[in-house]
This record gives sequence, structure tokens and C-alpha cells, in this order.
Amino acid sequence: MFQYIVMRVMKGGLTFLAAVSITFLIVRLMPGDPTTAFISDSMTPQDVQALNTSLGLDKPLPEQYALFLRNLAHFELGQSFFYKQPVGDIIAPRLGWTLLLIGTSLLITLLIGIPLGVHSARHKGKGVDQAVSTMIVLGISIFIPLLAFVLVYVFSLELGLTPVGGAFAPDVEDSELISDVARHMILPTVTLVVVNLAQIVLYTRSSMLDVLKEDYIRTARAKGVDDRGVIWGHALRNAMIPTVTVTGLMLGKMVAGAVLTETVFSWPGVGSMIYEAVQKQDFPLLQGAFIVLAFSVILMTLVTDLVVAWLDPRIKLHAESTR
Amino acid sequence: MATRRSFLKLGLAVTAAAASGSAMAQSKAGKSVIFRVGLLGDVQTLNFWASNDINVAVLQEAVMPRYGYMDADGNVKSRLIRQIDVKEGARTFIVHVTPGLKWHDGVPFSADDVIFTGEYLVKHKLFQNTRFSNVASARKIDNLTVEYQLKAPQVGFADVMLFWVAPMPKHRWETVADPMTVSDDPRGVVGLGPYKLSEWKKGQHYIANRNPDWPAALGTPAIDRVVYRVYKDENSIVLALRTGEIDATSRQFLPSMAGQFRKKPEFRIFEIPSPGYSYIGFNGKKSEFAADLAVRKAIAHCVDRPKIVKLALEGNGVPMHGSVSPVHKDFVKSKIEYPPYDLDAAKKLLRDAGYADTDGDGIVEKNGRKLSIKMMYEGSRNDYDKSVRIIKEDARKAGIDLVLEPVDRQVYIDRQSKTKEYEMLFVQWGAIVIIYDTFYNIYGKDSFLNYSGFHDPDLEKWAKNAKESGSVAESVKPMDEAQKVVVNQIPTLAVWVPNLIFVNSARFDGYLPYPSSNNGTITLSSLLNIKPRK
Amino acid sequence: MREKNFVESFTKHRLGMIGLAGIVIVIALGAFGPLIVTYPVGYNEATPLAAPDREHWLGTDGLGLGLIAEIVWGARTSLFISFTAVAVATCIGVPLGLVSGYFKGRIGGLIDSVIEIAMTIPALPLMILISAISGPSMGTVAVVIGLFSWPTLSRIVRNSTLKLASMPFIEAAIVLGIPTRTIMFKHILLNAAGPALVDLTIIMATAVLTEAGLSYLGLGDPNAWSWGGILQNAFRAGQHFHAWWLIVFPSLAIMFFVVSFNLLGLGINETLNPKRD
Repeated sequence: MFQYIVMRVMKGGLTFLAAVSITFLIVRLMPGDPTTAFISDSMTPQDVQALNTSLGLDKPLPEQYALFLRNLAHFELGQSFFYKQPVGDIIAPRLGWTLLLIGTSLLITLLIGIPLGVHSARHKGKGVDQAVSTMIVLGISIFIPLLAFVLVYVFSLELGLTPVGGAFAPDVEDSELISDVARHMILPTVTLVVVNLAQIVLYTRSSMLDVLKEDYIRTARAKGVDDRGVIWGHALRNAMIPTVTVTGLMLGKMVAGAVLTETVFSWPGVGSMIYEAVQKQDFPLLQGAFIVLAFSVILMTLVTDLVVAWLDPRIKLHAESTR
Repeated sequence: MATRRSFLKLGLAVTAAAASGSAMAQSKAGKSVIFRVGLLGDVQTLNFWASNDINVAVLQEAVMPRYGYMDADGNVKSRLIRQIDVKEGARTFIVHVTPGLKWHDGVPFSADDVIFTGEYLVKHKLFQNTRFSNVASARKIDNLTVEYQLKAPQVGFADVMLFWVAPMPKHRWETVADPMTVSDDPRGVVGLGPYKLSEWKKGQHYIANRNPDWPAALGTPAIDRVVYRVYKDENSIVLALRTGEIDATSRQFLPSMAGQFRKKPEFRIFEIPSPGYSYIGFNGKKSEFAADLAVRKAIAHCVDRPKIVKLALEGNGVPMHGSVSPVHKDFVKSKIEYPPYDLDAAKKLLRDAGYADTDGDGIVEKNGRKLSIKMMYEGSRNDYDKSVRIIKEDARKAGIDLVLEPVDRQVYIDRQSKTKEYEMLFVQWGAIVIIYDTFYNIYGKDSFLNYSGFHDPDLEKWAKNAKESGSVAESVKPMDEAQKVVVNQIPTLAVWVPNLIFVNSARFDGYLPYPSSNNGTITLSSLLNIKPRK
Repeated sequence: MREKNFVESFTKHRLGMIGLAGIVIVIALGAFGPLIVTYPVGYNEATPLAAPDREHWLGTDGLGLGLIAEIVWGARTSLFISFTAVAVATCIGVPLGLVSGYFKGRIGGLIDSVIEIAMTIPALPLMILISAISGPSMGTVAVVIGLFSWPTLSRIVRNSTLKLASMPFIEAAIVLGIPTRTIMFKHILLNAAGPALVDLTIIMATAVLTEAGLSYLGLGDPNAWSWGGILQNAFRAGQHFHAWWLIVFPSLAIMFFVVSFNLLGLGINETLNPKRD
């Protein structure tokens, strides 16, 4: 088990190294002068010189790479063109908002998706199941900005139930802060849940179908354990394994969804900042946002891996047998 | 089933919390008068002098206003400066500071600050530093009086300084060696305006409370607190206005977006002519055709301004037939205009200049080279994109092939201002306010706004004359002569002046829609005048 | 034999057939539509923002150009982007999956780790970074989408290969001395094609959604008509509040394309694994 965890952590580290290496290469191997991506028109020649030195752009590529990694290890992500502040300082307060949104959406997606998947597996081929299948196909076909716009139009504008954007009202009292944030979170969360639900339902349903065919379930049934007990007690724990695994793999997609969702709802997270950085052509900020998001996703994937390990007793054996 | 029911309960609980939250917010608003402004995108920095960001400018109106402003008739008025006396044929200017003003930390505003501002802006090349490039010396006469000596006569110096420059608190900035990197002073933001910036969360909101020290003589505002709220997306800002989340925006509305607010009693719509205008620029150094006066004239004959205004601006603007915007009433009286829309005249001009369509593809050639010019513009601008597509289509009818080059902003600025790698461009001046002064900056030899480096000795002479006139009235004559050169030589070809549309909540009254400001109805003059409607 | 059975049972899958029909329609639109509808250029002064009527079936945009032409030509863009993305993803994903599944051991494990790493990296922010730096162009967008779509495909091919490689008919082929290359590309790849095909349909669908998303963020190609681009234009000009047709029809086109490919995927999947339903 310990070995397994160490291996997973190492793999996570390797993934992060790969992610940052890709960004390093993208910026430097793009056609044209590699420095232009980091030099803005408001800089003086001295600024440019200082930047070149700090990025090591006058040195050979391997040395630049070493410098890049060293800066990263010190959490130095460069200077934003637009805000003229360290990228890390701009991203840090926003990361919490993105994680809050993604975390809440993920939780609700699982809370709805797993029971729905189980239910649909139990009633395989019936009306409920077919409805779920159709929903899955539609769910993965939705264009997020459109869904988000329709939601705002109906619930904020026509019905006046929810705020249009932001995370909380500027003049809200501290005592009301939590309920105000909750109010602002409803629509972005609904958007992310709708687009991600399909995957969770799909995987829960198909793994449940597989598990239900296993011998020990038949045995349990034969022993007279009632249907509900079989499903929720025995089958679900095992059926959860692929679901949790896919949850880990979905995180990257959820981040993608968050970029679009946060933009439409003016949610003050990293995603909407990416949109602004694109508008303002702020490359250091874009690069920093990617690195921070990649790190978060990798970390969360690691967590799901550990949950899988906890759920699945076989991993322990497997890890020991391969060593 | 059980899960579904409990989820429903959760949903109800959240909705209930939401409803009570909004009720509370409303009851709180009753105590003091709060005016809410929506910003599109975040405020770049709270160091007002290191930015020309539109959101910074909006915040500045309330917190750190400029010396003066332009009123509805296009006259520049003073505010933080009481008066400027012009002497010795516009070579000496005596600046009288308005008495009784205090910085937000209690230090009185004085002549020292005025002198410091000019010197500091120039020394650190901050925004607006070019407004002082003609200054030879600044001398303190007494605590509230400064004397400026100029290198060359410049009648516009007073108006330019009043309109563009905001003073800096000397006691805060004299110790700052590298102001460009200062984003917000950890000691707090010190301004001079009727509102003090009291609290902010970057990327979310900025709150400014009334400054009790603001002299009553300059007008006492009825609004106690201005709340600026950041939105990321144009649509959410429109929706926020519609739902009453905000009362005004820093952002002018596209006609299509403004449409939904018309005929609704809860809103007031203001249409203000923009201080800027769009134009086509030619770069003769990069294209032999752009260097050919016959081609430039022919292209001028292909620009159907009313049609472009109708389609590209959805009717929301004014065709600009001459080289000076109709906003400057005194300078357009002589009606000096570019060649009119006339495709046959364009064809004839080209024919007379030796261009002919020899291969039957509808595009003319000369010396075996097809008359094809690339036109660069910022592709993300919908109004630009539509305008150039219309011009391209009409130019094609005259036998000219305009190749459209939409590029992103970064590339655009780089190619326009630095590498000069363009043949033609389509763009809009943000604000050309003091025209008799700025004309030379646009067309003068080596002037910083003369991107293509166009040079004509007559234009040089007249534009310089206008700038150095003894009075504004005296500048009209040389301006006319300069305009005649522009419409004949066509270094640039003006197209339209957009209307800026601002939508405000009708819960308030007294908005002052001043032209010549991109800040619409939330300028300082307006903020001092807005009051809640009973 | 197998192929015939597959086709026969696929034709009985109603949703799958609907998806296939939808794809045929989109491809026909992209291939033949432009022969009938001329490329939308210039302007039409008489009819800006006209609502759908007998003359303009889908209405017009702000320059008076017919939306129907823009959508027809946009189909080409969508097809170009999705096919390019699939081609790129196939070129990388299939060989990697095959090799890692067939050779197992150290090489297989190494490649599998690469696949896993590539799956974890959040693709959209990275695509945004690349498109922003390289400047908006249809080709770049298509290739970039392809470059981030191969890992799932690779994983699927690898899993099928793992299963197939231990089957008796492959073991027999090895004993008979048939060259490895032939075994891999002929025997295994053919049999692994089914599940891979399902993933390809999903890649095609996702590619169109991603292109629309990038266009929405302002990273689309301004020189090509695309459905995401039409939407973005309408949003940017604020015309979507009253010219409903400018968002409804391109959205429907996107949905139609994406749903069709997803249904086709569903059909193929359920035909291959009938036990699941």
C-alpha cells in the first residue's frame, strides 16, 4: 500500500514536470522570436534586458530550462503584462474560487450521478434507462456558453431568482456572506453539473452492470440478502472504483468547463482570468494559469487514486505482486 | 427516491437563503445613497498615472480627477485648477490652484504638487508625460500659483493640461523611484476627488465613500457611496443592468445591446458623440500602391460612409466626410471634405493613372502588378470587421483588391507602432479632443501619432502654425489650410464618428452626458449632479 | 463474415442509424452545399438583421448576409477541424496504443505512463495558451485539438490489444512465423478497430465543441466561417438579445453535429457489446 502511494506521488510529480516542460517548449519553440511573447510594448529597453536576464533568454536552451524550473520551485511565475504584478499574486486569491466551484459541482454531480447510474442499471432497458441514455448523449453535446446564457436569461432576467454574475454582492455583510455566495453559485454550479453528469452516470451504470454479473453478487442474492442490500451494500462499493477513476480523469475536462462557465458568470476564479488574459494578450499570466491549474488537477487526481486504492483491496495485492 | 427528495430539500434551503439575502440587501440600501457601477474587466492598477486603461479612468473620475473637464459645448473648464492665464503669445502660463482642496490623507493640495506632477511624469515617462514636452521651466510663485515657460508657443497647453492631466500627491510619490511597477500603494490610495477609495477586492469590486473634505464650492454630491463591480463578460453586464444589480456601466453599449433598454421606463439612454473617430491609414513605405496618390484618391471614392454607418454601426454614428470630426464645431465650418463616394470617378482616376484590367479578373494592373493592398485591423472588433468588409466590396467594384488582414491586438500594436509592417490599416482614435493642438501630433514630421511617417511640407507648416497660434480663434485659419492638404493628399482617410451609447438606471436623475469623454455618464461632473429620484 | 454481421446488427440499432443519417447530412452539406450556396462575402444593404422569411430561410446577419450560407460554409470548417483532429489523434494514438499493448513489459509500461500523463494534463488551458501565442488560425486549432485527443484513443487501443494479444489465434500466428508487423497491423488492429471507432466519433464531436469554445474565447479564425464564429460574432455585437436566429441556428447546427456523432458512437458501441443492453 505504502509503495503504491509512493508510486502514485512520483507519477504525479512526473506529470507535473511534463506539463511545465510542455509550456516551456511551447513558448520557446513557437515560430518567430521567442522573446516577443514575454515582451510588451509598454516596456523600456532596460525592462526588456532585465526580463531577458531573468528568463535566461540569452543562454542556451538547457540552461534556460534549468532556470525556468528553479524559478518555478520558488513559485516565481513571472510578471503579468497587464497588471504589472507577479503572476502568482494575481492567481493565488482566484484559485480558491475556482476550486470551490469545481469541488461543489463535482460533489453534486456525484451525489446525483451515482444514484442515477445505479437506478438506471437496475432498470436496464426500461423507460428510465432509455431516458438516462438520451440524457447522457444530450449532456455531452451541450455548448456551455449557450447553456449558461439560457440559464441567466431565464432565472436571473425573467424570473429574477438568481444574481447575474460575480461571487457575492460588494456590500454584503459578513454574516450574510455564505448565503450570498451560495446564491451566486447556483447557476454556475448547475451548468457544470449538467455538462459533467453524463459521464458519471455512464460509468456508474456500466460498471454496475458488470458488477451485478459477478459471482459474489449472485451468491449474496442466493443467500437471501434483499435487492436493496445487494445493490447498496455489496455492488456499489465495487462499482464505485471505475466511477472514482473516471472522476479523476474528468477533472481536466471540468477545468475546461470552468473556463467557459466562469467567464459567462463573471466568477472571480482562474478560468475567467484566463479569458481576460486572452483578451489582453497577457502571456505570462496565461502560462501561470495553466501551470497552477495543471498542478491542482494533478493533485486532485492523486487524491482520487488514493480513494480508489482505499476502495479496491486488490490494489494492495497488485502493488505487492509487481514489486 | 429518498436521495431525490433530500436533494430537493437542499435546493429549497438554498433558494430560501437566496431570497432572504436579496431582501436584506435592499433594506440596507435605504440608509445611505449607493450608486452601483458595472466595470467590464478588472481595473488594471490603482496607480492612476501608470495606465491608460478605461476602467482606471472611470475610477479616477471619482477618486483622482483630472485638473479640468470638457463641457457639453466642447469648452475645456477648470476644476482643481481655478484658472490659467495665457501670456506673451502663448509662451507663458500662470496656473492658479483651487484653494481649499486636501489630499485624502489631509495634506493640502498646493503649487508644489502641480510642479512635481509635470516633472515626475516626464522623468518616469508615465502616461500623459508628452503633455509637458514643450515645457521649458516651471516656477512656484506662491503656494497656490505656478508659472510655466514654454520652449515654443502652444496655445493648447492650458486646455491639454486641464483635460488630460491628474495631479500627483508629491508627499507620496517623491520617494517612489520606479512608479511603473507600483500597482497599489500598501499605505492606501490617496486621491483628491470627492470620493475616497475605502475598500477593494481585486477582480471583484471597488468601493468609494464620500470625502467630507471636498470643498462645497466645487459641488456637493448626493451619492454617499459609489460601488464599482467587476464583470467579465459583456452580456453579464447588460443583464446586471437589466436586473437592477447595477445603475450604470463604464462601457458604452453596442446598438444591438442598447435596443432592449429602449421604451423601458426603468432606464435612461444617452447617446453621446465619441471624442474619437475611425480612419484608414496608408503606409507608402511598404506598398507602392499606397504611395500612389491616384490609388489613395480612388480608394477615397470607394468609401460610402452613410452605408457603412448604417450597416457596421447599425446606424449609430455619424459619417465623417472631412479630416476633423464634426464634434469640433469651430473647425468644420468651412466644410473641407475628402473626395466623395463615386465608383465611376475612382475607375476614371485609375484609368488616367495608367491602371487597366488586362486579364479580365475585375482587378486592375499596372506594369504587370495587380493593384492589391493589404489592410490590417484588429479582428476582434466587430465594427471594424464589418466596415472593412464593406469597403473591400466597393473597392473591388472599382478594380482595387483590398486584402483583409484581421490580426489580434498585440500583433496590431506591434506592427502599427513599432515594426510599421503594414500597407493599410483601419483603426479608431480613442479621443482627439484638442484638435488644433493634436493635428500636428498626427501629421507633423516625426510626430508620435504619425505612424506611417507621412510628410508634406505644407501640412507640416500649417499644422505647426495652428498649434503655435496665439489664441484658439487664430488657429482656425491654419487648421483650414492643413485640412485642405489632408483631403487632397489623403495620408489618412476618416470614415465615421461613433455615438457612444450609455444606459443608466432611471432610479437616479441628473446624469450629465458630456461628449469628449469615454466615461459617458459617470464623469465627475455627472457624479456631482446625480441624485436619487423620488 | 464479422463485418457483415456487424453491419446487419448495426442497421437494427435505431439511434445509431439516426446518428449515421445525421452525419451523412452534415457531410453532404459540407461537400455539396457550397456548390449551391455562394460563399458569403461583402454586404447586402437592403437586408441587415432580417428575421427568417421565405427569402432568407434562416434570416440574415448584421451585414445582411444570409445565415444559411454561413452555416453551410461553416459545416466545411467543422468537418475540416474534426477530421484533421481525428487524423492527428489517430496517427499518434493508434501506433502508441498498439505498441504498448502488444509488447507489454517495459516499453508498454513506459508508453502507458506517457498516456496517463497526457490524460491528466488539463487540455483546454494549454490549447488556449498555444492558440493565443501562435495567433488564431483554423489549421492550428484543428491540429492542436488533435494533439490533445489521442490519449483516450491510445488507451482504448492498448486495452483491446492487450486482450487480443493473448488470444489463441494470435498466438497461433506467432508460432506460424507471421511477421510481427503483419500481426499487429492486420490481425490485431482490424479487431481493435471497433472500440477505437467509438472513440473517434467522440473525438469528432468534442473537436467541434472545442472549436466553438475557442471561438467563444476569441481564439477562432476570423477568416473562416465557423458555427462557433457565427455565435461569437452575434454575442460580441450584442445581437443575440433580439436577433434570436443568430444564436439558435448555429447552436442547432453544433448540437446536430455533436449529437449525430455521439449517437453513432453509441450505436457502434452497443452493436459491438450487445450484452450491455
